[in-house]
Amino acid sequence: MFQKKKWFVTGMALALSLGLAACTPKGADGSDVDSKSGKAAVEEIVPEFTYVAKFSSLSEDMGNLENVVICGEYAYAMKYDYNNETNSDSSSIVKYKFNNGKFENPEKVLGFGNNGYALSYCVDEAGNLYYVSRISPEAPGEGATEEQMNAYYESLDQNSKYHLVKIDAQGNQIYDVDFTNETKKNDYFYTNQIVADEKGRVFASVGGESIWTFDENGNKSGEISVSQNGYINSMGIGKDQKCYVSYVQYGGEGATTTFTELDYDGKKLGKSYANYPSNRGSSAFTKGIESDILCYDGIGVYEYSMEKEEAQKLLSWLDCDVNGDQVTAVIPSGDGKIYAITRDWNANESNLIELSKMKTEDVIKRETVKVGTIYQNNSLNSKIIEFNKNNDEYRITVKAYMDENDWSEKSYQDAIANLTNDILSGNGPDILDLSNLDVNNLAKKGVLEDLMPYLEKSTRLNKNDFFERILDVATINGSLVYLPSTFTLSTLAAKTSLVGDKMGWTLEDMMKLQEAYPKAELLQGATKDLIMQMMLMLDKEAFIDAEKNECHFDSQQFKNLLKFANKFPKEYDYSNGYQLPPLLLKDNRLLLSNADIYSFEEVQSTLAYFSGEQVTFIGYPNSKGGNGCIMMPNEQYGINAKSSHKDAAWAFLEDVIDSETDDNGYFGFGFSTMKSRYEKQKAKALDVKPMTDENGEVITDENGNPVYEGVGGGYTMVGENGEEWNYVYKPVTEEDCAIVEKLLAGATVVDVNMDEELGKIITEEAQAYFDGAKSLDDVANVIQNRANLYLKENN
Amino acid sequence: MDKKVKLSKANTNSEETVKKVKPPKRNSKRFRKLKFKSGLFIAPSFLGVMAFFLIPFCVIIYYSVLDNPISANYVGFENFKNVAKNEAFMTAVKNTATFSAIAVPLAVVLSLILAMVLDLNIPFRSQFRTFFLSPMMVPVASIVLIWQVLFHNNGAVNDVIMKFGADRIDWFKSDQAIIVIVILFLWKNLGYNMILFMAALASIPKDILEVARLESANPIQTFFYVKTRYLSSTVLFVTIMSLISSFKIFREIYLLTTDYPYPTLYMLQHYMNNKFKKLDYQALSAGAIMMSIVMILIIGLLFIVEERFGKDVEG
Repeated sequence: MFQKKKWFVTGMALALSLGLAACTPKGADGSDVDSKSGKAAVEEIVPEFTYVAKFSSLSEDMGNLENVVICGEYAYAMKYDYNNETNSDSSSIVKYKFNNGKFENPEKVLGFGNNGYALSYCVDEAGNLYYVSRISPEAPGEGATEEQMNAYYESLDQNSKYHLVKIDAQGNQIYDVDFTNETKKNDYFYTNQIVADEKGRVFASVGGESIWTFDENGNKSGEISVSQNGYINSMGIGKDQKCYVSYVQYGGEGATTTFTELDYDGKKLGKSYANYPSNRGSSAFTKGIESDILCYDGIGVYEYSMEKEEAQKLLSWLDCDVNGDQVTAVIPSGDGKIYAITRDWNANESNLIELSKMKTEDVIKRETVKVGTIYQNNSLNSKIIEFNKNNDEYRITVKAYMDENDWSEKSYQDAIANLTNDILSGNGPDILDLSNLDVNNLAKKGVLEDLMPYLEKSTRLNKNDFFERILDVATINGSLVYLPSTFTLSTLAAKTSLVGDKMGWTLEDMMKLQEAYPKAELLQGATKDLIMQMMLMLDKEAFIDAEKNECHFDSQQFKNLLKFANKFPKEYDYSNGYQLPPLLLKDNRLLLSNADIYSFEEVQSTLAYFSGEQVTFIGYPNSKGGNGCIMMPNEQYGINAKSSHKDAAWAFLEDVIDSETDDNGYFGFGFSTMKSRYEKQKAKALDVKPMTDENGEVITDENGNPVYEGVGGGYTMVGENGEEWNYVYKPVTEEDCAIVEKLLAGATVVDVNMDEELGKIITEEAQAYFDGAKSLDDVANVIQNRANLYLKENN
Repeated sequence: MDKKVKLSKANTNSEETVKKVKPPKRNSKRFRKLKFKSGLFIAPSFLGVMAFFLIPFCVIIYYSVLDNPISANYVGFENFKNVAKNEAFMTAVKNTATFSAIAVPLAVVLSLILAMVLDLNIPFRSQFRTFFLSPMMVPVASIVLIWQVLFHNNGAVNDVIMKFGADRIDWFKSDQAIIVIVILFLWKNLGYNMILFMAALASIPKDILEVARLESANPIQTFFYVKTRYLSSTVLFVTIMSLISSFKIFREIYLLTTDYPYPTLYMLQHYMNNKFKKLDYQALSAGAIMMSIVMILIIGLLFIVEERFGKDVEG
C-alpha cells in the first residue's frame, strides 16, 4: 500500500515539476502571446471576387477637381483655376455628364471671382445644388502698403459675407440666404461639409465641432453639438436617404470614431452605429452599392451595413495598385463599378480609376510575396505599387499586423507578438519591415537571411557602392540582415560665437555652455528623459562595453549625466505658449537648435534659424571625439530565412533601394545609402536653372530675385503672440553640399533599434533621483546592478 | 510459495469478504472489460497530462538540442553548456536555491509550530485559524499592492524605521530584498501548511500519545519520538508543496519588480520568462530541463528521507 502511495505521490510531483518547466510563459502584461489572431493572420481566405483597376489620366484642366459628387448621370466637382496674368485663383462648380467613367460636356454651374468661393456644396437626389459661399471685400490694390494689407487680412473674417444658396436641377435659384449675422457669434466661421436631406433641409459642419441646421427655406434653424474634443470627419447621405455624420473624439484610449444619424427635428445626434471602419478617423463615406454606406480611407473601400452594424472590406487600394493616400474621391456606380479619383501631388497629375469586380479565379495569377509590417506606410506602399506595376511574375502584398482601427499601445504590442509568432512558427512573411522589431534578436535567432550573397551577385546593386558604415551597422553576427535605402543626418547647431567653429564636443562642454547662460534654454522642448535618451543613444559605448559585456553606470561620467539631465524640466512647460526658435536663438534665449537633415535643402533652412550669424554644427555631445552627427538608417527591410520566394523578395529589395522615388518623390525621405545615387541626388539638387519667360528673360519674384525651376515653397511659423517667421526654400549651393559632406564624414551610424529594455531600466531608476527620492549614488548603483544583470543574461 | 501460504491463511480469517470481492482472473474476459472501463475513466486525465505536460515537455527537449527554431540544426548539449556558463543563469540558480533553502524550511517549521499551538485548546482557536488562512483568499494583485505600500522606498516600514532614527532601506532594490520576499512567501503559505499539519496532528492515535504520557515522556520527547513519526508523510507533502510554491514566487516578484529586478531577486523563472520574450527558446528549454532534473532529484531525496523516518508507522 505504502509503495503504491509513494509512486502516486512521486508521479504527482513529477507531473507538477514538468508542468512548471514546460508551461508556456506569458507576455509582459500577462497576456498569452500565442494568440488566435496570430494564427488567423496565416490562414487567409481567398475572396470570391476581386476588384481590378483600369487607370486613365484626367486632362490637365481636370487635374484639380475636388469634392466630386455624383447625382444620377451627372458629376459635380469644385474646380480651382490659377490665372497667371493676375496672379490670382478662382473657383467654380462644374457639372459633367459622367458616362462610362468619363467626364464629358463640362458645364460651369457657378463661378466665383477673386474674392469669393464656395466653402462647401452638395447635391441632393433631385439634382438641387446647395452651397455655402463666402464673399470677401475687395483687396487693396497693387499700391497698398504693408499696413493696409495687414489691416485687410485682420478684418477679413469680420467683413466677409456668408450665404446659403439653393439652385434647382434646371439652374434656377430657389433661395439665397445671407446668414452672416449668425456667424458673428463665433470667433471664426468655417464650414467644409454640407449635406441636404430629402426634404431639402441642410446640415453644415461648423468649425469641426458642431453642425448647424437650415430649414427648407435656407434659414438657420438650430445647432447640434457633436464633438468637444475632436473633429467632424465626414457627413453624407445613406441609402435610406437619411443624413449621417462620422466624428472623431480623443480620449484615454486614443481617438475613437463614431458614426451617427443626424436628427433634424430633435436638433441632436440620433442613433449611433458600432464597428464603423475608421482607420484613425480618416475615412469618408457615401451611399453604398449593396449595403447602406460605402466608406473609404487610405487603406481600402468598405461596405457598411447599419442593420448588422458590421463592415465588409470590398477592396484594398494596394491590391489594386492604387496609392490610397492619393485618393481624393470615391464614386460608386450603378453597374457595380467603383470609380476613384487620385491626385499625385508630386507628379502633378490626376487619374480616374475604374475598379471592376471580377471573379478572383479569372484574374491573372502571379506568385505572391508577402511583406510583413506592423502598420502600412506611404513610402512602402508607393514602392510596392511601383514593383507590382512592373513585374509580371510576382506580386507583392502587405500584411499589416496592427488593427487599422485600433491604435492603442496594446494593439501595437499584440501586432509585434503576432508577427513574431508567425515568424517563429514558419509562417512569417517573405519580407520583414524591421522598423519596429528587435533586429538584433531576430538576427541572432537566424530569422533573417544573409543578404550579402545576394548583394554580391546582384547586377543592379554594387556592394562597394554603399556607405560602409551603413553596411556595418546592418551586419549582425557576420550576416547582412537588412539594407536600408536612405539615411538621415541628425545633429545640433549653435552660433559659432557660443561654441566655436569646431564640430563635436563633450557633455562637459555642453554643461559649461549652459552654465555660461543659466537663464537660457539649452534645447527647445528638452526634458530630463529626452536628454538622457539623447546622450545614451549617441554615447552608449561610454557606459557599455559590448565586447567585455560590462556596463559602467556607476561611473562618474554617468553620474554627471544624471546630474545634468536633472537640470531640465520633467515635462516641458508649454503654458508660456510656443516661442519661435529663430527669435529665441537670435538673442541667446535658446542656445542649440535640432537639425534633422534629410535633404540638401535642409541645410539652408537650418542656417536660416540663426538670422545670418555664423553657425557651427556642433553635434550631440559624445566622448568618442566624433563630430556628434548621427547617421540614421530610415527603412529596414530584411528577408525571412524561411521564405520560399527569396529571389523575388530580393528583387523587391533591389527596387526599394534603387528606387527613383527616393530621388524625385514627394515621399522620398533622406539621402540614398548608395554613393552613386547620393551623388545623383546631389547633382540634381545643384542643377537649378532660373525660370525664363517667352523672351528668354529671367522671371523674378516680388523682391526681384530670380525664380528657379523646381525650387520654391516654404513655410511660416506662427508664435503664441502672433509673431511670424517665414522661410522660402532657396536653390542648393555647393556650400550646402560641402556642409552635408562634412557632417557625413564624421557621422556615427546609430543603430536606431536601441535596446528598449535597457532604456526602460535607466529611465525607471533615474526617476527616483529626479524626484529627489534617492541619492545619486544609490540610483547609479541600482542602475548598474540591474543593467549588468540584463547584459549578463543576454550574453 | 510462502506468499501463497500467507494469503490462504488470510483468506481463512475473512472468507466471506473474499467471496464478495473476488478479483477477476488475469486475461479473463471480465478482467479485460474492467481494464477497458478503467482506461476510459483515466483517459481524460491521461490525455490532459499528455497534451499539457508530457508533449510540451518533449517539445522542450527537442528545442533544447537545436541551434534555433528557424534553421533547426542539432547541436547536442551545446545549449546546456551555454546556459550553465551564463552568469545571469547562475545568479538565478543561486537566488532560487537561497530563497528555497530559507523559505521552505521556515514555511514547514513555522506552520508546524502554529499547528501545534492551535492544537492546544487555546482561546480564539478558530479565529486564529481563519486569520492565518485569509492570505490565501487575497488576489496576487492586491498582495503586491499591499507589499508595495509597506516596503516601497517611501513606504510604511521605512517610515517606522526612520522614526527610530535609522536610515531608510530600499527594500526591493537592495540586498535586503530577499527578506521581504521570504516574509511575503511565509505570509501567503503558512495558513495552508498549518491546516495540513493540524489535520495530521489530529490523526495521530490518541492511545499512543496516552501510552507516551503514562511512560512519563515529556512533551518534547513525545514530539520527537512519537509525533514526528506520524507527521513524516505530511512533512514530506508540505515540503514538496512549499518547494513548488517557492519556485512560483516569481509571479509576486515579477509584479513587484518587472523583468529585470535587483539581482538578489532574480529567479530562475525570470531567466526563462526573459528568454521567452527574447525568442531564445533554446536557452529557455535547456534551463527548464536542468531545473526539472534538480526538482526531481530533490523530491527523490525527500522520499528517501521520509521513508527512513516514517517507515515504522506506515500502514
